[in-house]
Amino acid sequence: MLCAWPLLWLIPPGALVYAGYSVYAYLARLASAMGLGSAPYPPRLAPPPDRATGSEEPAYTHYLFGPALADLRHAARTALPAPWQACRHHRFRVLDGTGTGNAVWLTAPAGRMIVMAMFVGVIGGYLAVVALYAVQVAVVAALTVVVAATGLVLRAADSALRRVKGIRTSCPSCHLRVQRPSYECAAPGCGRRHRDVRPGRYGVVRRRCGCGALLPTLVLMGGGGRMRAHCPHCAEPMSRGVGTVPEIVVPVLGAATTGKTRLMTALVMGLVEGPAGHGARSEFADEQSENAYRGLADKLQAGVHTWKTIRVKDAPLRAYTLRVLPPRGSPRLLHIFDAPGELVGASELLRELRYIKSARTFLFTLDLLSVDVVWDSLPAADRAGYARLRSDMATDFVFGQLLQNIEGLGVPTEKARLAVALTKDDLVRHCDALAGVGRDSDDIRRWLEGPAGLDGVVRAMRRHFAEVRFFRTSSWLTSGEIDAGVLDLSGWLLVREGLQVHHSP
Amino acid sequence: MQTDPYRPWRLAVFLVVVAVAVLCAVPIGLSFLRYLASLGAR
Repeated sequence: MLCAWPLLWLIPPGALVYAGYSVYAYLARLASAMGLGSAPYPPRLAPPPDRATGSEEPAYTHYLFGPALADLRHAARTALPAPWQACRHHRFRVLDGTGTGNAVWLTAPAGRMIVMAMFVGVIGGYLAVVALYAVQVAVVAALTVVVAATGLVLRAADSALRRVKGIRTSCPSCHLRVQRPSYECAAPGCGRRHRDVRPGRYGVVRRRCGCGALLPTLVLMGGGGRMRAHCPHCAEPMSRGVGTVPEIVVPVLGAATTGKTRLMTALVMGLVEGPAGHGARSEFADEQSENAYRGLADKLQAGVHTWKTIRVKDAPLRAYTLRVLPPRGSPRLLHIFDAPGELVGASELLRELRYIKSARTFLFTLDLLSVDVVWDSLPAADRAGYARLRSDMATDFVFGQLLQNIEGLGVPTEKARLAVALTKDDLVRHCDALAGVGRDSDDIRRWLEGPAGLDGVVRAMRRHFAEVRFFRTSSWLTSGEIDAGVLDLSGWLLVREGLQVHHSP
Repeated sequence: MQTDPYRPWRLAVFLVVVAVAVLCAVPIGLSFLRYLASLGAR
């Protein structure tokens, strides 16, 4: 048999071939372990839950925040041994193929050299494979750091932008402050709700819902338009665009039958269909607001009375929410709350109106028919006709209750504004008691402090609120036109809430 | 069959590993070819 030493030259090229083959075997197995190629064999990962539970969201965890680690473990188990396994098989084939036959004197030593080359090559190849695995670990670690840092930056930017824009969100149904609305997946037939869509472990710029649809994470940067928001406290739907624009809360408060609902309907009608926006366009931000408005608007246009607002037991008092787009500046969500008069009269019930906490402009309705001097100056026939429409609660009592509860809820009234709407002006416009009283706020105030005998209430209003403005309003349409007092009131409200509209208060 | 939601990321990581392997293999292969050429010259 030939001595093996003359065949030593076979070792370097053989070792190189086997080292290359080891790397190839590793990469092929790695591709399979990562779910790529024709024979994917990725690690088993639990699918996302169908609904949010605990800290889990119904979304796929971002690759780098979980699945990448599972892939590394899986690759260590299945791909790293690939060089040994492949070459062990070759070793037997080489020894079997070279150990028999007529030329065994030549093939047997060559086979031994090849096996030796294989041994050297596999050791070298394995070192290369371990280095490649380390590269993969380093790549995943670096990407994780970069993506996590990007997520943190975007999250901080989102919070900062929210703060700069002054965005604070309240639920129009339960009135609780909402830090982050839940968002419903926009894919047809999905309906999975995501509690916190901000950049995080489920995605930095986008996240993948359990149904496979991609959802934006940066709601504030215009990504939330397609998704429907829900309140995390009561699960009721929230308005379109909630959480992306600043919100204005205007509670309409006053005793029962002072005309709150009609005034609010006239305001909304003026904003949506009329000139009350003073250059700003308004649209309903949710179906509930539009449906509630349509019923009342029909009555207003038909010139019939609206029913007293009655709170159905345990049913939430919902705001009428409009998206107001001023000619200049950013849009706003305007929530106008119509509080039933019964709640206003009872202190313990008034505390349920938690939305008051978010308000900085209050609208107080004062029924002109309830002012004694006006009532007494009306002809007897008018008094008989209007008796049903007259509010019978004392203005000073109602305002005192309101003030006590507004302050009790922690509203800094010294920084808040109060619009006082003297309602039903159309019924008493020509009575003697109002003769010579103009539509200017100071004229109305002087009349209230003087002949109307409400100086105590006016004093309390001016003492507690930063700004008080008086308006004479009528919620009846004159030839289909909205009363000038209502238009003036809406203009003042919008300007005072920072909207750049064409109105000089 | 539902597609793998992580496929783009997996493909990216895999391609980086392959790219590193190729970048390292090229100089090693060239060195070996030079070694063979020197053997032939002798």
